[in-house]
Amino acid sequence: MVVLRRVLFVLSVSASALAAGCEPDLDDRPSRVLGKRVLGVRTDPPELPPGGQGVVSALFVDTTGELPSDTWTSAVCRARKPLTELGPVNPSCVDPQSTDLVPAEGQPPVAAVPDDACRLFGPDPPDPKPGEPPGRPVDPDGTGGYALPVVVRFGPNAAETAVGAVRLTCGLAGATSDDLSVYLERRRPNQNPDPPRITLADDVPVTTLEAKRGEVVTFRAGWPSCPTTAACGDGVCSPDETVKACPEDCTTPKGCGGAEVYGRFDPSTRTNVLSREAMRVSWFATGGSFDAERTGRAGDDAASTTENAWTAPTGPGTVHVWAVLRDDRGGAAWSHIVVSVL
Amino acid sequence: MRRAASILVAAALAASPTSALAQGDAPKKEVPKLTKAPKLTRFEEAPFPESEKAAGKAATVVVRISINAEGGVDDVAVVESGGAAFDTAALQAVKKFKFEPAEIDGKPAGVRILYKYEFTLREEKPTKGTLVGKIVSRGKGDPVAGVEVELDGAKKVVTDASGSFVFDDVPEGKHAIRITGKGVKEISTEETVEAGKKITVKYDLDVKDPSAQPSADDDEIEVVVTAPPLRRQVLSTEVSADQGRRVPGTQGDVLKVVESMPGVARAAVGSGALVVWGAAPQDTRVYVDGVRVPTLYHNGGFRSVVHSSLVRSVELSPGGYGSPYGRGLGGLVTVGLRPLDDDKLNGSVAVDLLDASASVRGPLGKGLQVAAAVRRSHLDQALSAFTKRDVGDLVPIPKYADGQLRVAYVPSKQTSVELGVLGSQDRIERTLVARDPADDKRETREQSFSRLYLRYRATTTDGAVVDVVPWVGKERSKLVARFGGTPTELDVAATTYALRATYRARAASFLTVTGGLDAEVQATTLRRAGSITSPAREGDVRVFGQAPSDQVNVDDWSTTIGTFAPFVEGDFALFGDRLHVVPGLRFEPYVVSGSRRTPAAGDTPAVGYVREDTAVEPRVAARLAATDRLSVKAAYGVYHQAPQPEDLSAVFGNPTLGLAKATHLLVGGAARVTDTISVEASVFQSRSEGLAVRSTSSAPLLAQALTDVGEGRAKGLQVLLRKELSGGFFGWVSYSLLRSERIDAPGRAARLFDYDQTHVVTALGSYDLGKGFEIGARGRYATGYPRTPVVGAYYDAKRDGWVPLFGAQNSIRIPAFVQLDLRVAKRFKAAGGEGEAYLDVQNVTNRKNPEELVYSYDYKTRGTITGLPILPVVGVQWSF
Repeated sequence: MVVLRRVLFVLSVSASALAAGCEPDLDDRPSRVLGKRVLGVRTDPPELPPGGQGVVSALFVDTTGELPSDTWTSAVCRARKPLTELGPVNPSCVDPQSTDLVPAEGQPPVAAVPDDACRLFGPDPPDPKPGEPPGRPVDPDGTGGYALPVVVRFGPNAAETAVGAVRLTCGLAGATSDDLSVYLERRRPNQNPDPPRITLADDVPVTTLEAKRGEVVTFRAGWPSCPTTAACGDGVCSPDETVKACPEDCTTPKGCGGAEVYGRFDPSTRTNVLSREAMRVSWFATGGSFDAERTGRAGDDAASTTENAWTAPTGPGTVHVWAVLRDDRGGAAWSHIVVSVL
Repeated sequence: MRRAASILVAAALAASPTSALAQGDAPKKEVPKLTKAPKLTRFEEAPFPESEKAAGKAATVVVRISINAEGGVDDVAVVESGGAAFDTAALQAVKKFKFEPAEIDGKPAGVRILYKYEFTLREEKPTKGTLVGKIVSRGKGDPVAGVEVELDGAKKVVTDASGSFVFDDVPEGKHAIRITGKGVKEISTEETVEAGKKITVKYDLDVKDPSAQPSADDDEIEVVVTAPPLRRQVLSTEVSADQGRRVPGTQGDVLKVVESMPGVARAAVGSGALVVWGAAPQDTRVYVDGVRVPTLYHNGGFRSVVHSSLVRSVELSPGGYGSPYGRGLGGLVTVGLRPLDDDKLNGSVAVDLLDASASVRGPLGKGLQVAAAVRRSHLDQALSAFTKRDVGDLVPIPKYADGQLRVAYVPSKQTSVELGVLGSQDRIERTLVARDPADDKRETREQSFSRLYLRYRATTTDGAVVDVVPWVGKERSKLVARFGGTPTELDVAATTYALRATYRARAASFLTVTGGLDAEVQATTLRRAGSITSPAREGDVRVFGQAPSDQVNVDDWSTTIGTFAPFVEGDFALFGDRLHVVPGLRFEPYVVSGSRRTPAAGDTPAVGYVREDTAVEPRVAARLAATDRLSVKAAYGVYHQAPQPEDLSAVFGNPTLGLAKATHLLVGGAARVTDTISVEASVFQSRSEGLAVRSTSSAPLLAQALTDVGEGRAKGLQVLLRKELSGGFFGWVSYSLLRSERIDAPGRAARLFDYDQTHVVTALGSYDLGKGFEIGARGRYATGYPRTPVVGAYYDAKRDGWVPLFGAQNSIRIPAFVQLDLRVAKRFKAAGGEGEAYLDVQNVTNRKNPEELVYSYDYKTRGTITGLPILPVVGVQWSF
């Protein structure tokens, strides 16, 4: 037994040593707003066809709250990104001097989708050069969509950059004509979610709140429940409803402000399938700390709320809290509450 | 305690009557002249008197021996006494001596000599062993007397009436044995002598019946041409199993010693990648006794895939190897399995923090031998038992298992047939669940391979060696991951049919020729889904932990790659074996076929392809032994490699990728400072072209996500100062200076290779303290791998994350790695066998070695992931 105990001791020392290694020691709390930051970018509508126009919004904040829309600028990037680029945009468009940027005009700014957007960023193959085979279409994202980058500049000398996206209404790459036909029939443009409904445990919406120093407050963010099956008259033109079968929902197609059901072409099975949007909430605050930086629901999770605990700072003051709700097709919306820490 | 004996006075007193004649008036006669001194052919060891041993006494006894004309001992008398007990022991022993008779004036004659028999008490570690043998007739088993046994072409003894012979004080190591004699067919073989041990061998010889009628053949002179043993590659490092398992940091795993060899970059912790001379890990080939295996190590690099008890030696040739091998741009690792020639059952059971294993080998009777070994990891269970945290969240903890089975039929020492199975399995799984499902990190990696081979090995009567190994193998690797909301799936299943046949013979006294066929056909089916950027490739600009792009695709495809490579190599031994020139040629047609030339598009049927590309690979190596201690060498070779099946995807790769090509050039020298200390230095250069690289275009052509326009170049120096095992100590210091670069597209500037390490220094040693204790240490220094600096970042509002902006590719490095490992072991007798307990402590100084650069969420702060802290691994092994 003594020998066994000694062996176990050495094993435990070894195992503990292994456990202690490799741990990075960086503070990683993006939810803390310590200066000027963009917390969200969206266009309205979030999905546009080539030639379409959308209003660009950015949630630009600092420790005092949201900043006005004339403190940032936006533009559309026309440069296709290399295959190896992990980010959402060609790095050349992050350069303020880039010639690939087409500024959004007006106030609020309106971005125009280029006519060749589906060739630049979508499933249409690039124009072949003489003597060369056709080019490679852009791969879709996991929801089957394609994105036109929208670049937002802010901060001193507009040196800081945030990149949003407009979902493009394009066709399909590599599908049969039948599949394309079905896809187009079931396609419903994405809609931005409604601003998240922030409540406490009592489910009563809040816009202002008082909290004690160090108090733990559980916020709940909610969004509308969307129908998961097609039902004419529910106010939502589901993928399986048509103008002919359900004119009241589909004459002017309406989406849902929550987790929408949408049609997509699954490259794995090479069939048209229905999916439901995953929803995520990014939490931000100018003081205190959240349990999680983001919370959310997967597409197969029917729940329409998500919770996050926030610990108030230890000193008194005003804290701005934002919840940015995103669907995984590129739609976004946000809500803001002010917490007075006593 | 040892007894040493020596002939003190070889000058003889003539015992013939003529020597007693009076001088003076007698007719002048020539003084008899000793033309040949007597030579001791049979030594009898005198027992050390127990009473004197207990008293710690030593002595020297000088005796006068009268040797008759037949070489027998007629009389012995003490000239200088060492004490009664010593005198008696010496007299009894010397009376049993046998000599080759002295000759006086060319004729056998009796002589007297003085002989000093020393009885000494010594504590020194033995460096020599004894080889005892017996020769019997094949079939009957009768002892064969009067046969001459020659050791290393120098020492000779003749078997006595019982057919026995003995060589004392044989230095440890391999020795050539040659047996000749009237009525027997000459044979040559090789034996390994261990220090302080008596090795017993038995040879079955074909003996002609003396009563048989003489035939014409009896008068013929039989010329035996024996092919010399296979030479090592011109630049290689070979380590025996016994030494390899004693190297600190290997936890007794022989094959892990490769990591400490010159020319090998230090792999990042947990990677197990083998980076040789600046080549990508997948460019180095690993063979186990002629059977290619896909990897040398299990996932994570904690263990090799072959049990150490089956390994005889491991050799690493970082480049410039000969024509029998090919299909790889990088180095060559050849694992030699130990011969199955046990005369009794042996086995072992071992357990340590990482895994448990067992092995057994021995005879099954009638020339049949068997060996088997199994191993299974339990590190994951050990960690969960002793830590509250899920360590696997931070460090992927591998689960692995491997097994080997060998059955050999050895009808004679010249012929063997072996059926073998090699198998290995790996699994790594980790899951980090987040409050946002899109942030979940899941990863499952599975890897397995199996090999079934049949080996026929024969030495023909003319000394030629034939080795034929047909084998079939299966490989499977599967990666399923989800990171940053992007799924990744890569599933590869391959079946390989191969044949490796070599014939090696001495074509002339100065020429040994090796020829053969190296054929391999690999059929692979693949499925890949996810981002084109995941898994990452060499040359990708990214930071550790960065999520792949959210754009995804899917492809299912299959490939068949077949190669049939005849090869020939000649070893010209010139100028009395001082100069060896080894030209070789490998002719290798590659046939590459695939199921799909372009991505799936609607109902369009898939259009496959078949391509043929022939590679002609000249190789040449030369070694010059300038002096007995100094040699110089040089080698040049051309190598080709087929594209990886994973790269032949019409969606993620390019089905039209061609062969990649590399040339190796090296020049070096070696000096043997003493009999056991040597130093080798080599400079090398390799250039490669046709490497598959990412298309740099933002709008690549269809099915051309990869292009074969990459180039590589590496140059450097490697030095090895090595002390062979003697006096219980062995060790080496190796240093590699390397610069490895890649050019990703024509006209682009060269960048550092992702695995470039400028300096790699390894110093290690192991010392046998005696009484079963052994201690060893290994120190390592390695320049950190290159990384691309982050010079800025922007916010990705769609995925709520920051994206880095990069500076010049691979223009900074991870800080250097420095580590000291220690090993202490104790051998002991246990339960009818031998036990060994060891403590292998990695990173003794608990240094926080940076292994990777990491950044804060907004990339404004940079930190490092550190490697393993001090890690004691205790293990025990029992063998019988």
